[in-house]
Amino acid sequence: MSRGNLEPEKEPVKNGTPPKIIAFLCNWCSYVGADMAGTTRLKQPEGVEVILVPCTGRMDPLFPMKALVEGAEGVLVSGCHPGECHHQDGNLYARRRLEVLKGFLPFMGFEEERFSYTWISASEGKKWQQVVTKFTERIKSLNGKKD
Amino acid sequence: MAGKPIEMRNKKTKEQLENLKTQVEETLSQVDFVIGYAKGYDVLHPTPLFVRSTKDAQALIWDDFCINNLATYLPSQKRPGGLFHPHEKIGLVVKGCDSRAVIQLLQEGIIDRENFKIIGISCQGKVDVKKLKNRVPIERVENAEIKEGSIELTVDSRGQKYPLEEVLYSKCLSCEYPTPLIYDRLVGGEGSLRSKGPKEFAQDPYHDVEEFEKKGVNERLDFWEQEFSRCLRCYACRDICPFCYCQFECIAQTRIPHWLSQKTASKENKFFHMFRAMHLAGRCTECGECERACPVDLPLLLLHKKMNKKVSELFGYKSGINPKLRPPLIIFQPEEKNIEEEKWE
Amino acid sequence: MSKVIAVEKIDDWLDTLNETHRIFAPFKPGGATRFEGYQRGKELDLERFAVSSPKEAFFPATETIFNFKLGKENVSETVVSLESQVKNQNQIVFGARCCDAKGLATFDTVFSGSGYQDPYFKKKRNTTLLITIACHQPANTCFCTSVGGGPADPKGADILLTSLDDKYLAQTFSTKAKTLLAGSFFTDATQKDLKEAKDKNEAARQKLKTFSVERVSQKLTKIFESEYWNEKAAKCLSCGACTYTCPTCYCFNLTDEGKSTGERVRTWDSCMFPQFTLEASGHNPRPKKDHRLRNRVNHKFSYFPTQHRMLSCVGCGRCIRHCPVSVDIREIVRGVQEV
Repeated sequence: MSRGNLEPEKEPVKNGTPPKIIAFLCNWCSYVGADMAGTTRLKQPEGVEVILVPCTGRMDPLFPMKALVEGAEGVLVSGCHPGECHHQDGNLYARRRLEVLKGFLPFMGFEEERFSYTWISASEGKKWQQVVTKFTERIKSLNGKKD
Repeated sequence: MAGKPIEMRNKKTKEQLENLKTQVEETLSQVDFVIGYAKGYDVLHPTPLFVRSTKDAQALIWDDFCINNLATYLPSQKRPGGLFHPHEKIGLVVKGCDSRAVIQLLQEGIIDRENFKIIGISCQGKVDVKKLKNRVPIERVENAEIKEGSIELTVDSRGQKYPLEEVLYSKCLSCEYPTPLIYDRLVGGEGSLRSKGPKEFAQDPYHDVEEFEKKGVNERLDFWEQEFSRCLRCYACRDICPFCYCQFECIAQTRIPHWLSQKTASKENKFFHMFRAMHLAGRCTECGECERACPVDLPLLLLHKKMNKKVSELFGYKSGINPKLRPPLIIFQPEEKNIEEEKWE
Repeated sequence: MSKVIAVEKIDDWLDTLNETHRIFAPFKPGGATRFEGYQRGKELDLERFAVSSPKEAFFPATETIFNFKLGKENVSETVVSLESQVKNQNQIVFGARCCDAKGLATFDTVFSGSGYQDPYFKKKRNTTLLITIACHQPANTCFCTSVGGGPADPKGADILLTSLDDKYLAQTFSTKAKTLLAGSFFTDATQKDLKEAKDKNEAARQKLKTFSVERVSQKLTKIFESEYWNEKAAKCLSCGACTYTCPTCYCFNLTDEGKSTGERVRTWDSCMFPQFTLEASGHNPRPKKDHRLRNRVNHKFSYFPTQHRMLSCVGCGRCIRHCPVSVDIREIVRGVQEV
């Protein structure tokens, strides 16, 4: 009945395995921007799984929370710039909710580097490359510290 | 107010009871029933009383253990399976902290102001039975009385005495609203606190949150893993909360959508409490009933206070104060002065 | 057989037992006392009443019934694995109270009685020994004597320990338990020990106020439609604190979790939850709190006794202590007789 141990032992992560990162991208801006980064052959790190949302306004703060609880090593959210939301104001709601989530996660033992949200427009492929590279590096160095 | 001798305050509590009974009886002519406090199975545990007649009202009590937040019964009116009929009018006895819950429920539109009457009662702080539990076997307490700044208990026919500061609820030690913020009738005039308690709490109600944040992130992770391994998922915390009125739709128990595994291991329990905190962000009025209701003593109020502190820092908003305000997470500002965009260079 | 063991030898005895058995005992890790796995150094708490009952040793809050893996091409290729779930391990539940032990009789009736035999429960039950400790300081919520039990009732126990200040009297009630008392920690009990235990147990019994539940079952049937339930259930919150801490409550849920691979898990359920009887059609036979409270009291004091000739309440009082609004089943049951 020692209660914490109902899960199977996690397999130790082999060196060089890319960290599991989930990225929620809005359909109108960020997804297109990330796609552009791909078509213009900008180098991007492996390990990022993209989930498409119609708008960051669709982001339930529970999505990144559940991803982290279930073992994702990092979660990114990106949408249109505030003021330019394809759906008018979805991202303005998202900004509040995700900022609250961001402030809460470290309290529960998740390093603050593990969750970020940003604004990337359809033409900002370069910014996407920058964000995803920087974010992956942060996660890798966190994992490095853990060993 | 802080200088008043304790003797006068005890007298005040007794006078308040007589006045309270009168107010309740008068309110009965305007409502179908009034909810107050009655003697429970022992001196430490008063229980909610549903008063429908003057005779019932004689069983009312008011003492240093009347902690229940009776506002939790209000949403029942509009919920399916609620005990009360939608047309029934309710009267409610509320303390300052409870009145914040009433205001927040009004803000959320879950109750209609014309369907209930509030009998506000000013409060001097309540004794935390869990703090007593760490000191004496509370299951054998025979008597408990407040005298001269201490609580005197009789346990197993022996006397035990503790300074009040040690045994009042932490929320009482940093109480900002000893007088209810909303009422139709007020018992006891302006509230005053019996004891301001240790300086840290008096100056800063979020003192415990700040202390916790001084720990390293791994220490915090281990702490929560240890704590949540005790959780039974009985949902007492959720069911006593005035704002958890989702009933059949609560995602803790739905299969469609299947947010939460029914397994009761530390990971799943932690997720439950985290998303409950998220759903209560900017709504929780920190009454602490969740922590009191928990049979395994989880430090739940700490979690919800952290969430509220964040909301307060970001949006300058405090729940349960002004019924005309809109909850911060369902509105936005075109420019958020306290939110800085992350830099990626 | 009666032996005695010095109080300071208890930890050593448990250490020895731990080599051959998995031990569950009341610990106080950082707050509430709960039954948990034994570890030397963990703060054993034999004074306070454990929050939960040791039913968890036989009926855990979470249990995997089987694992499954859906066939890729064909459903008939689905693999279900059962054997690994029912582990073979000797267990000891140490430090339970007599009411907890008595509560197991309800479980035995339901899970391994004359009907379907639950293999998960049975396996654990057959490989577990119960060591109970007699109560000398009943709580103000205890009412074991009113429901046919007592603070030193040996029913259901393999070994009953009775505190004699600096030592415990240990009495066995089953042959398999005799071997546990064979070690050097134990010496034979004297007549004086036996008398002292008897006196202390009787003194404890006298501390309890006993009320009659003789007419309850009949009366419950008569007042089924009464407004009485409305009054009594008004303050109930419909949480599960009473049922989850109760030593005789046995209701459970079965949930299949996972998509192409997963497991079927059994978890505790509570008849007090609003959705307990919610049907797929949307109809709910017990939509309100008064229906559910009426059902709970009827189950324990009328339906179960009528079917199985024993009450399904052992008077431990946990439901009263842990109820956030202090619903008191004693008050309800006494009140039933006066309606």
